[in-house]
Amino acid sequence: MKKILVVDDEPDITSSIKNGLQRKGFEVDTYNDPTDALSNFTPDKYDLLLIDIRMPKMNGFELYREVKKKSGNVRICFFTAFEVYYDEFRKMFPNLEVKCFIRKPITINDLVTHINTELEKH
Amino acid sequence: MLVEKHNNACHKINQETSRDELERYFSSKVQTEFVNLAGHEMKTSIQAILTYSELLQDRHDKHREDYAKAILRNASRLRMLSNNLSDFTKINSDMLRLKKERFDLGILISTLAEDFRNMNRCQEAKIKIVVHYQKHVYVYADSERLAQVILNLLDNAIKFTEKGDISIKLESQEDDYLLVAITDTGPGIDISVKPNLFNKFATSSHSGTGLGLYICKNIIEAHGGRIWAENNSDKNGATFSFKIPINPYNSGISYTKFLNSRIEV
Repeated sequence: MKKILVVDDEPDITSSIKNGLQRKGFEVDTYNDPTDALSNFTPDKYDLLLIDIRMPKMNGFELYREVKKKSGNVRICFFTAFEVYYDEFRKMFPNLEVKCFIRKPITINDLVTHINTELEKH
Repeated sequence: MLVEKHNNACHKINQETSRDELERYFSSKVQTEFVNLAGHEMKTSIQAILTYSELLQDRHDKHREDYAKAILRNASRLRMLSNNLSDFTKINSDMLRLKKERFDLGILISTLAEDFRNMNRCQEAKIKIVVHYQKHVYVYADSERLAQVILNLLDNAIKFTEKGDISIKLESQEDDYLLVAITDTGPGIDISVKPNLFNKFATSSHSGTGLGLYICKNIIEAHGGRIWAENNSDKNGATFSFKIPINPYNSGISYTKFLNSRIEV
């Protein structure tokens, strides 16, 4: 069973996405506070991280950078409602490779398609 | 001499042009940022509604009632956003009109608190909403608009409160004003945000569009009142308060006349 970590500051998003992904056969952990997600992060525990970008305390890019330090080969998809973030990300972290930006709102089926595509790449 | 004058004039024109350009640049940047934020708010709520609706389709799920509540909660958020957008337009074009009537503000507040409690994550997060009020506190004001202000302040309070209490206090004061104070136990107001708190487009980095408090301020001021915010003295959370006159036309005109005039309308 593939294991996904979802980090989003909106409890309604984490709780509904967790439930939806579980129904599609994934094992899911969630955090609403990115700093909790980071301090509890264990390398190699997850097949994929689904991370919101606009969050308090630490934004998704910063979380990604910190997680990457703990686990170099971690797979990440940003899950965002913010259009401009892709360009911002490129400017802020020219050396970080992320090709997976999933835009909210999306149905569970489409989200699963994105996740599976990303998982198959590696 | 003439040339020098001409040069000075040109220099001045250039300076003004660049100031105009700068203002235009900032105003368009702020607008773009605002549209992005409003879009972000919309998409986040739509995402929740979309996913919960999908989950709701499973008839055997035990949590269907919770899903329905979550859909309602997010649809309400969208409604608040769309109301804020139209209010913003009204305020900007000086079209904010109050529909005043006499009503019991105590009853309105306790009803709002009850609805808010049911709709939000108060139970799961163990957030208590406590209302302190005297009975029969009548005011001549726009009840829908005051409800909008109170809900907006409650919404802010819960957004920043992870656990603990939110208290609402209603008090009639000696100077014929009513005071409403909403106290939370969140992290308090950031000093850098505080001076601009009630300005349009002022928002923290992670949520909101920066319209809510600006609209609240305009509604309260249209009632002849005042709104302000301060961090609590025990350094735990913040208190948002507003004061409005009990009856702005208190000089010898009876409530009956107002009631009658309303019926005539």
